[in-house]
Amino acid sequence: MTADLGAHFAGLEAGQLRVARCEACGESRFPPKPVCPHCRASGGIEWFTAAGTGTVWSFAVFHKAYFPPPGPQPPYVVAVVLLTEGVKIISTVTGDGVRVGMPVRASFERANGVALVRFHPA
Amino acid sequence: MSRPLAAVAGVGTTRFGKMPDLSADDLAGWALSEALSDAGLTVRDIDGLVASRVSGYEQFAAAYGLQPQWCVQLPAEGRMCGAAIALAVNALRTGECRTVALVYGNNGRSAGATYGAGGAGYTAAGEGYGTAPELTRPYGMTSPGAFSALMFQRHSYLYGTTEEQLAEVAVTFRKHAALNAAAVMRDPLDLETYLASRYIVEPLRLFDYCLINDGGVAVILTTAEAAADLPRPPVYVLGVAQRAQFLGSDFPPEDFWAGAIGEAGSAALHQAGRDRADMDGLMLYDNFSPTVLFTLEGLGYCPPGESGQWIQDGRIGLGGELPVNTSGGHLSESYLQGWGLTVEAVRQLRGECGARQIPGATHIQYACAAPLVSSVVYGSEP
Repeated sequence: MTADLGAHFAGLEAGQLRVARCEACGESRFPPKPVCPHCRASGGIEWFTAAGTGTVWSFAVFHKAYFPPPGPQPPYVVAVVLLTEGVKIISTVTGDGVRVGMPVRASFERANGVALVRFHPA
Repeated sequence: MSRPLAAVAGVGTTRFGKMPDLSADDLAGWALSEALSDAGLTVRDIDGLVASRVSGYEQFAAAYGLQPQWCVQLPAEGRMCGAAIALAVNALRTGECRTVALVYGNNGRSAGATYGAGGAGYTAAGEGYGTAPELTRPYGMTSPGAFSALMFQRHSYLYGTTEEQLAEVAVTFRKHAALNAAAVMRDPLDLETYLASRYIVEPLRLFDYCLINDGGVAVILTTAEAAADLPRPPVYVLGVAQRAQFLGSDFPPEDFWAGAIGEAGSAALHQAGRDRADMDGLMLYDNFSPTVLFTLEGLGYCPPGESGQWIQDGRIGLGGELPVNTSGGHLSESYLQGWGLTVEAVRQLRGECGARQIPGATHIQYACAAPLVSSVVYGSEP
C-alpha cells in the first residue's frame, strides 16, 4: 500500500515531474511511503518538482508483448532513471543507443489519454 | 558440531510437465503419497502441515486424511520455500509437533499461469517486485523477468558481465537435466543455440527464464532424535536463516541483494557449524539465470562482480569445483519454486542421484535470492 500518488499524476498533467522526498532525512520517498525507508521517520513527505534531468541507472528492451494495444508494443525500452535529485523513477528512454550512465532529460506527453514522462538523451 | 535442527524423513515428487487432468491439490497429494512411502509413514503419523500453493490447507488436509495438531499455509511465492523449512524446524524444536508434511502443488502450466501484465492470484508478483503498478504499467514495465533483466544490465555495466558468460548458467543446468529422467527440458543446449534464441526482455533470452509447468513436491521433516529410526539414510537440516530486503524494493537493489544473501547464508552456515568450504554443491533459486550469479556473489563463493567469469570452464557443473542445481533447476528440470531443489539436495546427500550424483556429497547449501532471502544447509552427518 503506497501513499497517495495524486501529486505525481497531477504534475504529469501539468508537464512537471513531481516526486517525493523525506522531510526528515531528505532521501527519496518515491513512491511515497507512510514510513521513510531510509531514516524510518513517519509522515513528513515533501513533494517537489524535479529538474527533469538524470542518468540511466539501468534499462531493458521488451521484445515480448505483455500488453494488448493500446498498451506499449515491442520492442520498447523500460529504464530506471536516477534523477539529479537522487530519486529513482521507472520510465522509458527514446532513441537507439540507450546505455547505462547516459545523461537524459524529461519530456511530457499523453498516450492513450494518460499523461506520461519520457526521457531523451540529454 | 552443532546439533541438527531437524531430519528429513521422506521426500516425494510427481511427474513434471503438463498434466491438465490434475489440480494443484491432486499434485500435492500425489507427492505426499510418495513422500510417506519414502519415509515409511502413513497419514496418521503426520501431526504438522505446511501447505504451499494448494487450494487451501483445510481442503487439502480434509481430502488427504491429515489431522495435524499444527498447521500453517504460506503464500505461493518461491521465496517462501526456505521460510517454510524454517517454520517447520521451529515447530519441531518447540515441540508443537513431531512429523511435519510440507506439501506443494503447482498446476501453473495447465491453469495457464502467466507472469506480468497484471497476472493475478499465484502470480501476484507478476508486475515485478514493486509496490505501485500504476507507476510502472504505463511505461510497459512488468514481470519478474524484466526486473531481473534490469539487474543483469546493471551488473554488466558495473562489472562487464557478458551475455556469453551468463549463458553458462542455462547451458550447465541443461547438461544436468539431461542426466535427470524427470526433467522437463533435456534437449542439448549449447552456447550457439542459446545466443540464437530470442530475447524476451533484453538482455535476457528465452533460456534465461524458468519453465512454467505442473508438478508437486512433498517433504516430511521430523526431529533430529527421530532420525535414527528412519528407513532412509538420514539427511539433516543443519542451519536455516532468512533476511529481508523489503525497503526500497520498488527498484532493483543496488547491491543485487548481496547484503541480505550474505547475512542469511552466513547465519545458516554458522548455525550448522560449517563453512563454505564444507559444501559439496549448491541449490540456488534460478527463477532467472542472473539470480544464480547474484546468489553466488552474495553467499561469498566468489568476489562481488566476478560471478560471470567465476562460473566458466565447468566450475558449477557436475565434475566441477562446486556443482550447482544438479537436477537442472527451475530452468530445465521443473519450476517447483525451491521445492524441487530441496528434494534434489536430499537425494544428493542420500547418494540417490545416479548419473548426476556428486560423488561423496555430504553437505549442500540452498539459497533463494529475492526481497526475502533464505538459506538452508543440509548435511548427511549430524
